[in-house]
Amino acid sequence: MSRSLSPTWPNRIFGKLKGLQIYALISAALSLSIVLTIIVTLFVQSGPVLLAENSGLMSTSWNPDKGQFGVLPMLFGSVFVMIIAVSVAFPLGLLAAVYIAETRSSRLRRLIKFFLEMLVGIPSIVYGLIGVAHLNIWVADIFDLQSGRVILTAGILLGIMILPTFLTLTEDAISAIPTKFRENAKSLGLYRHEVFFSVILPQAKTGIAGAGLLALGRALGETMAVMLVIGSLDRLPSPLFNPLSSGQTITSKLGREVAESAFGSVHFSALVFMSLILVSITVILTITSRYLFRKTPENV
Amino acid sequence: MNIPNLLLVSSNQSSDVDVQSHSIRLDGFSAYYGKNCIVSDINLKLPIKGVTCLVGPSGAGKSTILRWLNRINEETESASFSGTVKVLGRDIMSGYPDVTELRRRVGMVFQQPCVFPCSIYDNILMGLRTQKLSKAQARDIVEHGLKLASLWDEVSNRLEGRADSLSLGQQQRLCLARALVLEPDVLLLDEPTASIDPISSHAIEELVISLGRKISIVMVTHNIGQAKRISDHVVFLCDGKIVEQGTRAHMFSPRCSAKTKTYITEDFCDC
Ligand SMILES: Nc1ncnc2c1ncn2[C@@H]1O[C@H](COP(=O)(O)OP(=O)(O)OP(=O)(O)O)[C@@H](O)[C@H]1O
Ligand SMILES: [Mg+2]
Repeated sequence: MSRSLSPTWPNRIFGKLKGLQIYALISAALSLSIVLTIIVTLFVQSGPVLLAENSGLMSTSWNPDKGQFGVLPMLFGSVFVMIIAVSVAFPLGLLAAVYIAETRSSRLRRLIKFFLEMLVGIPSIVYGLIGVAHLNIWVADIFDLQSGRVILTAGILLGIMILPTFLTLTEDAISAIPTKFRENAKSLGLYRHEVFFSVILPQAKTGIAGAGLLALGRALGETMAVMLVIGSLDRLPSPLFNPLSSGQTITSKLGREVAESAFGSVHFSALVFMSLILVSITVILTITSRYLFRKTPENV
Repeated sequence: MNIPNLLLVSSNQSSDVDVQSHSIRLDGFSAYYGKNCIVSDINLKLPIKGVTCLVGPSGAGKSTILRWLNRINEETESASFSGTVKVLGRDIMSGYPDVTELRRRVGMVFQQPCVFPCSIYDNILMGLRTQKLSKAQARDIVEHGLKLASLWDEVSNRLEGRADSLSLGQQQRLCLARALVLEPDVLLLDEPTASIDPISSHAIEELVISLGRKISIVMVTHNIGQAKRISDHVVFLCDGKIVEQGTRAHMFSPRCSAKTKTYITEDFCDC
């Protein structure tokens, strides 16, 4: 007689399942509580500046000595830099990803992926150094500026930094679509680009959106590299959309000033408030992309 | 009007087809995956009309041959072939600089059904995307295609429903309909009735027979009875070689070779 069919084996499996469920529950609760802790801390620590009179949070001048904490220049800088980075990285990344994913040579594909994934792992300070050494100077030369430490430089550098992440994840999303879809579409006489737009893209777009979001997150959160090349000027550019003026992002501001502000002071609180804004932007981005790309029968 | 009229007249067979006597012609054709020779040195001539059944044991290379006829095997990285392949009188490589033209004229239904994750309606029209069709024309085409593939009765009330919610057999017929609305001059069918119930299977056999009067159909089947019912011409392949080929009358007569007889009667191949 076989012992493996003893009547207790279902119990054992279900007993294990229960253990797994508890484990999953604990880790879910843990991540939720971490998120909550972060948000609550940010709110609580933002208190002083929100309650302080004449702090001018929504103004354009930042001057801790006079108690002015206008965050607009930094907020604007963050968004501006992010937009430049995205307009560099997304079109390039998408095109390259399509090319790599649809190439017939798996050896070429593996080679490119290997280098891309290596690029993803390079610390951002290294990019920052390259930005200072080269990009900065090129921008100054091309646009005939005194200094290349401007918003444009930061945007381009950031675009280069997020490109590998975006590219490799987008490529994953595209090549995850089984070949049979390509073969079937091609056997109907569709051209390569038609195959991509009518059959591949609709299925890969959720993954591509995810890649984009991750890249955006990295662009928003990047500190060191931006700090080195943006020029650190706490003023709105003039004219407003002039990418050739120096600027400041929320992260570069935090990077510079957190250490020199006293914990609990209004100054510190203003910095925390800025990171609260950053987190809110990330949350809004996540929710929007979820909403836009949720998998419903109609839009797949 | 743009409505497919496959069963009425063969209007879309252009003049260069009519002057050809072969829809498909293989000369010294060998097919490889990497260095493995899967099909070796095959010669084959198929008439411009009629049903040809490819039969033979699993792994004989039937799908491989079919997949080269519309050059879809190009998409497989390691695949290559030697020899010449002519489709509708033109070499598949040099005669069709635009491979999509070849694929439009040579319809294909794969062994594994694969529908696109959109509606049934959009699936049928996928190959006609670039044509400017009015709503009414599009609907007519969809209805006609589905009726040909004997799927209309089952899905007419849910054309906007998702195609991948259909059963496997229904999906297979959807793939057939999708290929038919393009009005191909040659149709490649890789076991189209493998996952279909006997009734729809019978309907598809009828369709293949009637289409075979207008165009050339190459059909892979493991069902010897089916080959006996629908084929004009039978090609028996084994281990990448043609063991015997001939008309149905010949292949299912006592005059056929011993190997063919064994395969037909005992479903066994000793080559
Ligand atoms: N993509 C591929 N790469 C490598 N070898 C392959 C590939 N596709 C098929 N083969 C090999 O080619 C041989 C012939 O395969 P093919 O699919 O043409 O057989 P078949 O006659 O259609 O068989 P079946 O009746 O089972 O469908 C098999 O030995 C198979 O392993
Ligand atoms: Mg096969």
